[in-house]
Amino acid sequence: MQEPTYYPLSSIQEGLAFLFRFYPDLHILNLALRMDFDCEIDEELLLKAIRETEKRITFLKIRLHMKDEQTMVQYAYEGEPDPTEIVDFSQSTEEEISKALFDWTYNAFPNSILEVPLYNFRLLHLPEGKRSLYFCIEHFIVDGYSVLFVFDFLDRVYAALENGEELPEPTPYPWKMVEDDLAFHDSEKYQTVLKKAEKDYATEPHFTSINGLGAPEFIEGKRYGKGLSLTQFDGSSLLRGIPADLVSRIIDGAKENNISPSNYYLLALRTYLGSVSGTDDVTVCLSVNRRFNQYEKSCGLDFATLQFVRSIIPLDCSFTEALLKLSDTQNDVLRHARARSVDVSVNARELYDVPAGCGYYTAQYSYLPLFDLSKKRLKYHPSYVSNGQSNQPFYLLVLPGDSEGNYCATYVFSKAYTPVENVERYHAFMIRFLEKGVQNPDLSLQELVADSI
Amino acid sequence: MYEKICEILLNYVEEPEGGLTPETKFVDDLAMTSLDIMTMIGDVEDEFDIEIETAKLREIYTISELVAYLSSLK
Repeated sequence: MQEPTYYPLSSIQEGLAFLFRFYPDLHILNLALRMDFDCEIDEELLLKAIRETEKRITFLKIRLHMKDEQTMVQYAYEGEPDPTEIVDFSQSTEEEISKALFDWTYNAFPNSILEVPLYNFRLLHLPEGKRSLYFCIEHFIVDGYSVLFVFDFLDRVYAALENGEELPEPTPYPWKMVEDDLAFHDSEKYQTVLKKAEKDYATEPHFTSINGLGAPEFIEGKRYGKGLSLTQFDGSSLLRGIPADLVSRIIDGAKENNISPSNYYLLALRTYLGSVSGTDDVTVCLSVNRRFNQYEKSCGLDFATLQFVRSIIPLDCSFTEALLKLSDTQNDVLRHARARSVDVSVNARELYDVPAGCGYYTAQYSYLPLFDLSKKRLKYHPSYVSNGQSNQPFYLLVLPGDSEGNYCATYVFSKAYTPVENVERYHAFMIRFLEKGVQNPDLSLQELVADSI
Repeated sequence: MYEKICEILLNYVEEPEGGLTPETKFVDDLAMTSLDIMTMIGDVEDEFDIEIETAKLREIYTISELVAYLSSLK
């Protein structure tokens, strides 16, 4: 085969490449979801749809190559994808199936991710004739948004094949995104953007934890003032439902207030963190798409960055007032989200003399119900598959749950740092807090917390 | 200013049938998410070298309302 054209890595990928040099067996970047079908499937058609999806989503073709000892580059592999493996679990227990999926995810990509496909599909034959599609992809090239994009694209291909219609156009190659990203980071405009982002950076200690005041980071009743900044450690995951009725009322309330529904879940999280940690001053880390324009959407890719949303909201605020305050704060951060988080923290250390490795958050949050599953041809419920790692003490990811409008709260947390009981306790709080807040938005946070904790 | 706003807007959304009008609503007509709107506003701030009051954004639903607000800043 002709030698491919090699392209540079984006600025964020460069950071991950650096990480791989020290941790060549990194597992934490193996992103996996399973798509459990809630409808009849034409298996032959589905396999054909998977094949067409693999040929048409160009980021699935990306592989990595070492140009020399120091330089990693990327290219598009134009050969035929491997056939989709079909795995028979028809006689297996859910525990056996979960273990198999975990093992696949943990060991997903050999050869330190060089010169190998960076994704795979497996079609699962489950008990009682059910079917599930397992999909794993390397975070090096995509974010969570792109995983959902793959499922959405597959759905469109399946529907088109079934109806004899034209298949969706292939996505553009993302090379222009990389070029634009690198050019932007070299530009004067980036320095202006960086200065705006730095203003949002927290510099005074105001620590909170999902574990409350008994947490390891509170030593002798005093806030230790440092966040965990590790690459990966033993992690666990927990999936819990958010009922469709509550989801729908949140969406209606958000529209009425002209804010994002994501603010509701963020309000629950930061209120809980503050309440159990004895403070109104809370920072939560968000994963945010940077300037997610039409070209990036057409590629199915985004460049995400971690942004820190710091809010000081007293408990005597009403639920609605608190939502509006938080929305304004979050919107300020989103507008400045073009700067890489690593650049912001490096500069902040120089400008504000903040110690290295310092972070004042131990909770991260992402909101990803970006595709309406009720409008899909394929009815399924997606669920996160753990890779056994976590780089956060606590991470809440809100995902679409199924085609009935339920959402799924996916918690990924470090085993040694965050007891699962505290995660369960948080989830129960979040549901009660939001149910009561949506029903009685004039109630104060104090009243809602008292009823919900 | 209206034309420039539309140009920036079309970086984030597909042009709807019938094109953009002053009365086009960001959410109802263009299905923009809050992230779309905020990153577009970030581009607008950079383009016109202004800082927009975040709380004010909650009162802006259409292109003409955004144009009117920006004009009041200049």
